[in-house]
Amino acid sequence: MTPYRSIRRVVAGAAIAALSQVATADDWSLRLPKEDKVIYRGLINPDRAGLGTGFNMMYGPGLVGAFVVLAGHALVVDEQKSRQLRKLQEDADKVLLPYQEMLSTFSYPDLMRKALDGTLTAGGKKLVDFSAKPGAGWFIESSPVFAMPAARRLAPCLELSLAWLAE
Amino acid sequence: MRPVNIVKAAEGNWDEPPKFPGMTNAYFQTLELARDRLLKAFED
Repeated sequence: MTPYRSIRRVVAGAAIAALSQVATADDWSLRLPKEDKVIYRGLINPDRAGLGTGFNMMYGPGLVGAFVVLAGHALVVDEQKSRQLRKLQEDADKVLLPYQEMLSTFSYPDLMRKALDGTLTAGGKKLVDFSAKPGAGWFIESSPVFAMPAARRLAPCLELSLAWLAE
Repeated sequence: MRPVNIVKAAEGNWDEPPKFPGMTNAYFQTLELARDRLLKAFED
């Protein structure tokens, strides 16, 4: 059975009951990222960068205007634009300098343990190593990255990629 | 494997070590939101 079908089976098996009931029946395994320390970066303002389409635009509460994130897929653009983007990212990352010592104390195990403890899932909840393989229940991969706007009065935003797998 | 991408602004006391409550809360909220989106996708 493919993972996709397997997830469908788990959800359908619960008859799409109340979300809390589905969650209660499941155990969560939240996989730690490869890196130990939480990753931060600066946000690039696209208005100043003169960029076209094809980049991650970020909008939301706490953000003034829109910002662009230099994501992995942005590297497929031509080499000249890649160099430009890398320079922009290096410049944007300077906003982190005053916070570097403080932020370096924050690790993914700390972040994820506290967040996991607060989830509504009533089943088992555990952090697993990056090398762990999916077992029974929900297996969640996540890559949280915090991005800091140039205006320091604004809080950073979290860009999170998650992948869920159920056996 | 079902991917979900979410962007969420941290709120409140994001720069307060050692617990970093704002950032921890943002991560917690995205976990919950991702689960909701995933389950909704299978309902539809």
